[in-house]
Amino acid sequence: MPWFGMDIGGTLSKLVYFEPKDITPDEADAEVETLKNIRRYLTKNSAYGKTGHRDTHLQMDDIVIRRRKGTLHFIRFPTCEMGNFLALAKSKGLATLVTTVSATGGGAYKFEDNFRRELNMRLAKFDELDSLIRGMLYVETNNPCECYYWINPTEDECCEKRFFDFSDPYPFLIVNIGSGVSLLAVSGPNSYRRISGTSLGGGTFLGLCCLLTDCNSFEEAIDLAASGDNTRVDKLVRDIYGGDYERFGLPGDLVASSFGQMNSKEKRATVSREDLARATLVTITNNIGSIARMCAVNEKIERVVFVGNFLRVNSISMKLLAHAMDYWSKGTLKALFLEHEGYFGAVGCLLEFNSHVS
Amino acid sequence: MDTQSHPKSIELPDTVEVFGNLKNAKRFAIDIGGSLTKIAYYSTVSHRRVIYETEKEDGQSLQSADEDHRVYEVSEGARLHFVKFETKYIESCLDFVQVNLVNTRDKMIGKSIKATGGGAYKYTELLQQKLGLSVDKEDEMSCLIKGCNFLLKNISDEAFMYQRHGNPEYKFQTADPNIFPYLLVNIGSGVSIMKVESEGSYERIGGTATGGGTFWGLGSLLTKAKEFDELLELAEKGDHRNVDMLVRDIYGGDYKMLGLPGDLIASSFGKAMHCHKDRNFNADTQFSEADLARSLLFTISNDIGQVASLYAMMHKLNKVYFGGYFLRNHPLSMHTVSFSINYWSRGQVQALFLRHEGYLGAIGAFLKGAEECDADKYSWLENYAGSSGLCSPIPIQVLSTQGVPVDQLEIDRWESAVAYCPLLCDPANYVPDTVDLTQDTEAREYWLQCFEESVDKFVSRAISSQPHSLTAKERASKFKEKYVSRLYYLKHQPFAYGNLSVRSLLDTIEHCMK
Repeated sequence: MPWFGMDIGGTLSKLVYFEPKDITPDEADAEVETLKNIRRYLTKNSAYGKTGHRDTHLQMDDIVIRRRKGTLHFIRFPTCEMGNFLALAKSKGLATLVTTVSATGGGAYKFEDNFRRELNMRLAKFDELDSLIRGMLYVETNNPCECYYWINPTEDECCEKRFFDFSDPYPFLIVNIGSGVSLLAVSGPNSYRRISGTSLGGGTFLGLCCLLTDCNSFEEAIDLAASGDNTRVDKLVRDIYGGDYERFGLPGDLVASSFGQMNSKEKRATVSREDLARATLVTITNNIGSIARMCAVNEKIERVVFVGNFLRVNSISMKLLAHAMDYWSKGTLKALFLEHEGYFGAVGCLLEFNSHVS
Repeated sequence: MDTQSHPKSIELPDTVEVFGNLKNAKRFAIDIGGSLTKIAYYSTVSHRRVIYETEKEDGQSLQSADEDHRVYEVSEGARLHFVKFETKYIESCLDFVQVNLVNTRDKMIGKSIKATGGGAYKYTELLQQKLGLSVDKEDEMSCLIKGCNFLLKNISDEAFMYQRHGNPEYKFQTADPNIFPYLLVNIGSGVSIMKVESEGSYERIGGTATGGGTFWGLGSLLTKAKEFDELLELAEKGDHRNVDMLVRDIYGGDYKMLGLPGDLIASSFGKAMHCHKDRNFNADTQFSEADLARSLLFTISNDIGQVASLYAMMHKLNKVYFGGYFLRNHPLSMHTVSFSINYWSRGQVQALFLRHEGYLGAIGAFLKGAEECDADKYSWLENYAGSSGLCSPIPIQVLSTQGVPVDQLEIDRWESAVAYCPLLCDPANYVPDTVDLTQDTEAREYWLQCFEESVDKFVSRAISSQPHSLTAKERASKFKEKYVSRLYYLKHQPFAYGNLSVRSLLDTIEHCMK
């Protein structure tokens, strides 16, 4: 039985595939041809169809799930390509094999009927936040290099990634930045609360970027942002006060009003696509950082873990968040990041499925 | 009342005098914002009042029934004037002031004008040149707070809650003996959140960079709207669901486990991204500019509401007052912010708006320099006759000689300090009026008509009280015109001056007569 965990989010669908490596010769003989083909298809390729992608650098070997030893593979594709995914899966014969697959995320509900009709497949649905926590704790335990933080986030030359020992994690705050954002306070392995959220998330960044720069993908948006300058788009404290606003301890280079210069026709004519992309990224990131910080203070929690695919290939945001947490809390809050960013939901529901199957 | 349309369609009575009593103006202050400027000044007004009965020292009453021997009591009152207009007209308005400063021009030499607001630097020279006053800059935040404290303490029905589909739509708060501590969220280009503990003590506890400037900036990039108000107009017409990704778009319905309803916004602008290889994606057919504007308004308002409630809960405050040009008492903006605060604080925090929020800075700046006003020693009340009332955020009354639209507020000094009746067990919630004309439509129609029909009686009484005056008849008919048009205005905009009651209508008569 192929073991999949699927997290179908608003923008991206994440698929985790467990490839067993301990198949006995007897098992191999009894194995259905289709199953072998699927395994081969998944593990020999890192691209599927036009938009499916396997993150090979995230592959985890020597994983034990339910006493089976194997490798975890991490695959993603845009949710809007779900139709193509179902067609592809059907063409590989998946409909003849599995009857139940564990799934989480909104799409597990939204696409339930589609899975049943196209692939004759039932989805065992699990809550996305339960799965997130479970997956995160599992991966962190099994990967010693999973958790890290940034030192000197504002200085490009000496900015570095440093590993963080998260073996004694509680309590901590998780900020899951997907299309939208959820903030959870976790006090134990089975004890968490969703304390807040915001609709200004990764989807907002990508949506606004597409509108402002006519870009076509998240990667393109991030690329544009990398060479942009948001100070040409935003209104800074020094643009209003001529310097620092000393009375309230606000430094001159702080953003006072995001996109604040864009009401001027002349200014609009001089900014580039890169500047706009950067400004969008900075606005969304700072806003999330601000909300995360206030929630952390309200909950009296010092460690804030940022996850979600908004941070994928997005070191700009990670560093901004690291800096913001540190600066505004005067060093009491720590921003932490995890290597497997957006896949925890998928891992979590895969694990839960296993505990349901006898 | 048509809740959809903004009260711009009502014509303001032409009979309110603009820049009243300038010839007796004493002290000036100015708040120059990016789009709107407010000038404040103080004038002395003389009142004459007939005394119908006086008591002689021996206790016998003396009636002056004789028409030829009216006894008058003359008193000098103080009035604060605030005039609001678009900053682009500042030069014309300063010219107008300069020309009309008749009695006091000489006294102004060597004096200063308190100035605040972002534009104070830019226009320093112009002010000095036109008015002959030296410019004294004051910090914007402290002016806002001083102004806010003054209004909350003195003007009845200043603060209100707004519910777009509520009845009543506007719910006015009675003046509270204890206004401290409170949170003031000023939404200008950016957002500043101030915690006010007492008259002299406040702290900026936080802020956010997604404010009015973001709305205007992004709005200018995403739509063809040229002005802030155009953006708001577009937002009124749009449907954000074409642009935002709702919970329903992700879950196919509600997210039951967390109790998140399907039409909650999960990701703002989430539908605006181009789907990979979706050649059919055409931004023009997916959503309109109006949809984008509405989405943007919701995004900014929801964010501000969330940040404000987080700070309110952090400091255990349950009243948040909002000010700043982003809101400008525009119904849709007030609605989204109120909704957002209510949602994020789970109903624990109340969003409140101020009828005169645009004037906070000017009032504060003025009070900073006006020791002779002794503002705290007296009580102040809104002069209904001289004030424009709650209406369009952009002034529409016209300064006749210059063709500049203005909006006004006049505040009179009461004869003595008014205090709360010590016998009241709950002064904050006490309402003296037995009939609420803002809510009770039937009663409102009845009383408005009553007053309209009886206005002639007031007119003849007024004329007969000053039998020797040549201008009495003329002034009396002016009063009638003023009052009747105000009644008409109130018929369509009962909320314009706070809670409408028989008492406020009587006060209006008195103010119009003065």
